[in-house]
Amino acid sequence: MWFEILKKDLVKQKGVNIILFLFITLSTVFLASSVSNIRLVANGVGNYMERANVSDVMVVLGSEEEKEQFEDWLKSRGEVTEYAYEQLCEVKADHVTAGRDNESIKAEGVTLYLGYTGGQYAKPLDYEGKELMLKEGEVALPPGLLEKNGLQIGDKLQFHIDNEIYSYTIAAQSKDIMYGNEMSGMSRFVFDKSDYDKMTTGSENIKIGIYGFNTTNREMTLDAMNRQGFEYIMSTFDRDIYPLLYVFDMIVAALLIVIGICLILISLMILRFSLIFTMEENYREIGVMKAIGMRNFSIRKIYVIKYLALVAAGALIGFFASIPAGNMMMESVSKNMVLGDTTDTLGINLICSAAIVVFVTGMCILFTGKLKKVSAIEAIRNGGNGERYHKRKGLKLYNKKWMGTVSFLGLNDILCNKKRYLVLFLTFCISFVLITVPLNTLTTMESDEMAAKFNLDPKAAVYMETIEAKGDSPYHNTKDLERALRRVEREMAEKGYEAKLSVGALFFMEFIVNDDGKTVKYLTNYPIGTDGSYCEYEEGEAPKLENEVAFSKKVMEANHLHIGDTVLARLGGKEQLLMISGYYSDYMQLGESARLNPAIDMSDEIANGYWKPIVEMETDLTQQELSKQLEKEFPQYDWVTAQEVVDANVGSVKDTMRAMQLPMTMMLCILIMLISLLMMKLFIVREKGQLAMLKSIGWRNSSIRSWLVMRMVWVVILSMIFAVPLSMLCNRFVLRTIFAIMGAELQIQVEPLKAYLLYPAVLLVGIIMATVFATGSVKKITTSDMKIAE
Amino acid sequence: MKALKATDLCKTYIVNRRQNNVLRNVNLEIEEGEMVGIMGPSGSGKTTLLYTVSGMDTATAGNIQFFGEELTGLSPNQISDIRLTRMGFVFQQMYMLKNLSVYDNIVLPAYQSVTKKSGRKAVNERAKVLMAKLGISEVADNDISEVSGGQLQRACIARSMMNNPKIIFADEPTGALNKQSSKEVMKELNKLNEEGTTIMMVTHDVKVASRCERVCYIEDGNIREEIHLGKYTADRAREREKELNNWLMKLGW
Repeated sequence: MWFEILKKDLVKQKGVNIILFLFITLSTVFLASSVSNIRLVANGVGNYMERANVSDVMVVLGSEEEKEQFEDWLKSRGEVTEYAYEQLCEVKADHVTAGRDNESIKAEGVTLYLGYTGGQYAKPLDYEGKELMLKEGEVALPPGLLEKNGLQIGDKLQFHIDNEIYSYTIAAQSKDIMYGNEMSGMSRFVFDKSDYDKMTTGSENIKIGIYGFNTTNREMTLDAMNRQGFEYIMSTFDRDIYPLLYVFDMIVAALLIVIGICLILISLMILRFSLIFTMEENYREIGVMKAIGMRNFSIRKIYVIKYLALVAAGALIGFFASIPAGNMMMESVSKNMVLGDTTDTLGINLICSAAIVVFVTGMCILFTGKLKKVSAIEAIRNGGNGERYHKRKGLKLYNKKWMGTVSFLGLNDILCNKKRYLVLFLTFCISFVLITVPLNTLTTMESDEMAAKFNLDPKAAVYMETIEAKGDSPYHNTKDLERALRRVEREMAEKGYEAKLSVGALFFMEFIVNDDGKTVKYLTNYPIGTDGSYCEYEEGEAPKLENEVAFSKKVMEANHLHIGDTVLARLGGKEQLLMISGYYSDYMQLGESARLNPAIDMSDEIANGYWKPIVEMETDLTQQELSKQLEKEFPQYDWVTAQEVVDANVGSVKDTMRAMQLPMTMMLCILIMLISLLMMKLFIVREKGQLAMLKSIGWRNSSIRSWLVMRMVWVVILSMIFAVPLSMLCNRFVLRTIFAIMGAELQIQVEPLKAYLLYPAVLLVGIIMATVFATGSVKKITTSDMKIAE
Repeated sequence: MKALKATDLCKTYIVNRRQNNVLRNVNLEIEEGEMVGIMGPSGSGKTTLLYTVSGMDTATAGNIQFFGEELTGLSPNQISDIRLTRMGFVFQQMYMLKNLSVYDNIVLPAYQSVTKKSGRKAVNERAKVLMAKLGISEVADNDISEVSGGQLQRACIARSMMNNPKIIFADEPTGALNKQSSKEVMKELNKLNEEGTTIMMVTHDVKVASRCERVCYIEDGNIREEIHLGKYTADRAREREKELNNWLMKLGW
């Protein structure tokens, strides 16, 4: 008999059961894949660092002149346990060509180096996360470079070094913890050591030395190193910098996890709702079974067995589906990182699937437990105890003269059954917020504010990639840079472009920041051809006088500095006292930098580089249009937009997020369509009697369906109203925090039309479509269905 | 004029491959302003006849004319519109939307049938008049669970009257009511009939049926006989009941 009841139930509520089954499967997929991914990502950077053998400290020497001196110092330090040296050779992007047309590759603002396998620290790894092994004639590139240039494994690359051309085959995609990430501003081609030596020995290309060392007291060693005053140290990276380098990759992973958690929440809410709803639906039958003398346990068994069978099948399929789904979710992250073996997390997938089975069965047992307390007659009365008098919660139709009948009925139903619609409301709310997260992240990444945080003037006409003409040697002197600016201005004027150029020369300057002689070294921007007034300051103002300097907020906090304090700056052999005029926050050097006044004489100093030259001129063209126009007029220079500079610095994350956006919107749309379908089917089953009555008194099918659709529309509208402040909170506390980790606080940018109108409208259309489809069953309701009116 | 004319009306259900002929060539005519009762044993096809002639259910064969207009062959939407605007329905169970107040339930079909919002003013006035007439004005704002069965059934009658229907179909209108409430409801239906509304009513109750002008006895899906009792008058109530009872007994009731 139990089997018969079960069979009848499965057939009678076929649609609901199928959707419930789908949700159990989906919940398992999301729960299992997200939880295992949380574990993978949480351990991701640590695992990557371990495999690449990252040293405690990595020091970049801009010249080999100080190599011996630095090595002697390392040997003298007792706390330094081991060290290793590695060399990199700089190569200009237009000296590397690919394809039949021998086109130069695009570096997009990243400094390119030649490197080799076999180093001790920060080893390049292969795609599987094993140490990269290359044969002679082979080269490996990080994924960013490959993608940017449309290169594939097997393609040939030519390196033009000192009038010689060396040809190599791309044999692998490298995972290079330090040089494979665009955030570091460096990218390296990895060769076999003999190939590297063949190309670079005796070459005039700049070579930088990398010292990696482990120490028992990192702080003490770094402090001692700074006090030593090595002139050619370009930059120092300690272990803590690596997680920051991968922060943008973590954004994608974190977003996926947030999405996964939200989907789990949605699935569980729906599951709970469906369970309770279908049980309530069967209340009368339960009452009849009780009335004829069946035991509570026997009645509960029927429902528990049904949901156990449903959940076991769903969880099993979900478990198997969660493995490829998890891999897919992590694809973009694992492209740049070594995340560890996914087979390690199979156990987690299995535990999560089992948890779903336990949870759903537990819910079923918990709810059916109530049946013990309900008498047969109460169950027959659908859980009511005979008490008829209770306060009405809804609206009054005759008071709402401005409202159509179906709109009124839809709204009134929601107000009368708030609990019933709460699940839908929350689901839609979460979906709307979820959809705005990648959208707002992208809008922020493309905003003027983001450009300003990269020390760019968003109002500038256009930027130059480099001030040197293609093929020229790089300038490292402020005088050369100034001359170059004037030269380009003249060249532009000759062709009718009245432009004013400026640039920020970059120095790694030493500052003594307190009375104890604490010495720190920061990337310092020295404005040439501008007073730097376009730069934004959180407090104070740009340094103008010869004795003024400004620091980033992170530097101020780290060194307990305040506006008005003085620091001692070391410039070559001299020392100069500088007063802090203001502080700012930006993404330069992960938020730790300084800005120098334009009045100070830096002509004798060697610059470590310069930031993008700014071109200011009167024009109606956009940066993109102007850069294209100038590209034709002045092909010897690379012209870029502020956005291109930002893109080059945030790496492929923006592309990944953009690629994610459409499938995510579609997935969310399908998901909430399924939810709407399930809910509407459940509502129709429950309200069949009322619908039949309306049909009998002459309501058209279309009017009844409009009423049901209007309910959903009202829930969507209410959800959207609540989702807007919720999304703002999410911007403030989630997205802003993620951006702040990179070094600067940023106002999250929102395109209201897109975020609060266009995308929700897409979801609304999806919901309406699903509801219209679900209400198709209204046509099948006949007057005889009035008998099952509540 | 004939309010309703059913000719050779058949209704067949097929359940588990078995054919069940519920109505077999039924011929029925109801004059405008007439009050006709349909009686018969359980399963004889009374309710099916009411549902079929009112367009709630489709006929398998035969024709139905409603005030000269052919119902068979009309689209479901056209039939719905006729039911909404020209027919009224009263059921045994007082089916109403549980999320609405008594008043809103009454005005609902009328609001649905008026296209302009301004038409709602007239609807509200009519609702107030009808509710006063049926003695349920004081429960207008109440929830449907807060009123008695009799009040609720009178509210259903008020709802059925909202669009000035030409005919009211009543299916066991007193079936779920106590004696006093039944009496009140029937009094209202008689009053409506006196005012010119045609009524077709299915009932098991001899007392209720005796208030009809004509009673048809249906058996095995066909009208076997009918009796004309004449217009109802309260002073002849007992005699009419007796006459009907005798007639029914002859038919094996």
